[in-house]
Amino acid sequence: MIMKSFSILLLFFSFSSLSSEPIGEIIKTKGSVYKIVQGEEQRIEVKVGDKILEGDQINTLIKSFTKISLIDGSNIVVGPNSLFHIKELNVDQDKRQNKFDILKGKIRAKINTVKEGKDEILFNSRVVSIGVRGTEFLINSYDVKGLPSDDVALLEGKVNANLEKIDFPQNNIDLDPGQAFNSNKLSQTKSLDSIQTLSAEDLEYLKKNPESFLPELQLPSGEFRNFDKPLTSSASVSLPTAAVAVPISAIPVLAGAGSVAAASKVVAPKRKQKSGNPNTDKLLKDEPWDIRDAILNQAKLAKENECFYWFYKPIPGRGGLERFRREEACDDDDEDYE
Amino acid sequence: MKYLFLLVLLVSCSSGFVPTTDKCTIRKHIEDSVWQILQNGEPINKKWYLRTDAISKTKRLEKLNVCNWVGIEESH
Repeated sequence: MIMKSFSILLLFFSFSSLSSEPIGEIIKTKGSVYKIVQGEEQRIEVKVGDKILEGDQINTLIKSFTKISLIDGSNIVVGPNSLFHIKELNVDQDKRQNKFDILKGKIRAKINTVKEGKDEILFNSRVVSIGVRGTEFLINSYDVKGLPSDDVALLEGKVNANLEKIDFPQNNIDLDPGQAFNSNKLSQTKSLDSIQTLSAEDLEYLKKNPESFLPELQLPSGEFRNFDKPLTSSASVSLPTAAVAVPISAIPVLAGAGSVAAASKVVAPKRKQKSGNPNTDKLLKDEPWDIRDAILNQAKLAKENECFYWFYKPIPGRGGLERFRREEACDDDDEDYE
Repeated sequence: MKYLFLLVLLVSCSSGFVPTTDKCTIRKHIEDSVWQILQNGEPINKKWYLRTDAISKTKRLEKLNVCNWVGIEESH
């Protein structure tokens, strides 16, 4: 009985110590970068020097990116409008076991080679799982016509891609340096011919610019980029000099609760906004459909005492927060305010 | 019993109305065009509203003596 209690206690302490030890550090940021601590809904803005813990999610907004240095010497660059989860990171003298989830957006990883011992590093996007060892590669995870589309490109080293989640004859494929694929193209053609080789120009550009990303290989129309034309010439691949027009398709509502405690100034409500709409600074066409719909119908519904509110909830297994809309009476003030 | 209740009510009401000193502001979500109501800097609930709805609601809270409507918080 005593031994059982002791082992439970030891297990508890070992888990506690693992979860509180930093496993990485932010070494570069641009724009708005946040981390969502495991088990919490709030996200915290990060800056250079901030530590990262196992279980943290990194969230970048548009025109933003961050570079993370991990304790095993690897670097990960998280591109704009991305959500990246450091699910597991265990590094010992004779073992390395790391798992990462790319929930949306772009990442670029340079994985340090471990000389000996067991080495298992997995990068999971929504439909592809990449096993890597001492390599540099890029992953994009986005939606095309509401369906997940993932790209993988290898710059150096070797990766093994697990394709069990897509309709492809083989469960695993190996990539050589310079090769790239899109999950939907593989699924549609069911042929290894869909794995294409980056041009020497594209490969050189991506290698020479360590914070550049692969443009999305599948366009919003559903067509696939032609590898005969340079991928890295027109599409936006690097920051912060972005003049890019990467076609970013509509991504399902996946937003974080914005309880960033940064406010320090109170101003009177502004009467006129750029869009002429008192509810938003953005143009209506740029708003997500649920917010746009609420704004357009606000006056009509208010006459019937109908209003909308939103809340954010984490989605199990997906990470991040998703936005939900509900109706309520506009004058519903029956809240238990403290 | 009815008269006793009325007496208690009259006594409690006549003790005086104390206006709140709490301050209410609204703050925009980092990404989305929805707003949250804050009382003394803390969210009053987990709901987010359109800006005009948030302002209207806050002004109603002012009438209910929950807090005083101050303005919009700017985040950096």
